[in-house]
Amino acid sequence: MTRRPTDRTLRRWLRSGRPARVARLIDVHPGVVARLEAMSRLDDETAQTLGEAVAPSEDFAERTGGAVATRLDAYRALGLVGDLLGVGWRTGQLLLWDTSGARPDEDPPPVDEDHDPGGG
Amino acid sequence: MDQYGALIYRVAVSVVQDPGLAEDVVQEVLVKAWTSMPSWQGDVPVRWLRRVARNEAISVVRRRRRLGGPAGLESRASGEPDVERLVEGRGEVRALREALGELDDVARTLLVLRETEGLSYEDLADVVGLTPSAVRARLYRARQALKGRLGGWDR
Repeated sequence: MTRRPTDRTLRRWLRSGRPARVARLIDVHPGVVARLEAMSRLDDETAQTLGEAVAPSEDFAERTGGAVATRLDAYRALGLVGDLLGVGWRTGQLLLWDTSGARPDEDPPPVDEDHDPGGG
Repeated sequence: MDQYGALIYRVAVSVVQDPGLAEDVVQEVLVKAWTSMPSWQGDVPVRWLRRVARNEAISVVRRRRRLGGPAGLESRASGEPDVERLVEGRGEVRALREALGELDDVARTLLVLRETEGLSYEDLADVVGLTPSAVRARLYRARQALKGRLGGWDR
């Protein structure tokens, strides 16, 4: 069990680039979390200013939503073109190849040699 | 869009540090979300969106670096800020953006998502790929660094 560090020690570790050591302490001493929270909490004004600093512009939703809708329309149109090309390909197959379903490169059906067409 | 757009934007802007690029990331993520919806099975959509938003934003920054352009944080630090936003912004907002720009992108993402979206440590860990304990330590350090840059460090 490690000795519980003082607030001053914790602060020094946090400032001197040893967060991994603090992370290990957090696992060992749950109370450290609350102390760190109290030491580092941003005041309400700073937190609010931070919110403003990273907020999107007022017309963001409208502008970005419109751009996304346009791109999705293009994506769907591309899918439709793909579907149409697929239909064309299948139609070509039906028109050019044997309608029995056999492809041109397949062997012809076997001939029944015992069968006598003349009846003799 | 109404439900998740602002969240994705905040994740993106915390990485790319440029409103225009962040909006591009939002578009990419939403289109990706729509076209790959079947792959969501077994995952919570909002978690999927947060992760994809951060990954997409990191890709954008890398692409800009490869092309030799300013990459988010560096653009702010090297005196090439988003002029329009800075002029519009209040002095406090401007100062905070500059202070945020001096943090690394993980610290920014943690701060932004914790303070504006109220994400739990576990959810933050899922977004940035750290353990919850590491997130706590990084978050506290990020807050202190921000306060220090804003002149409010309690020594």
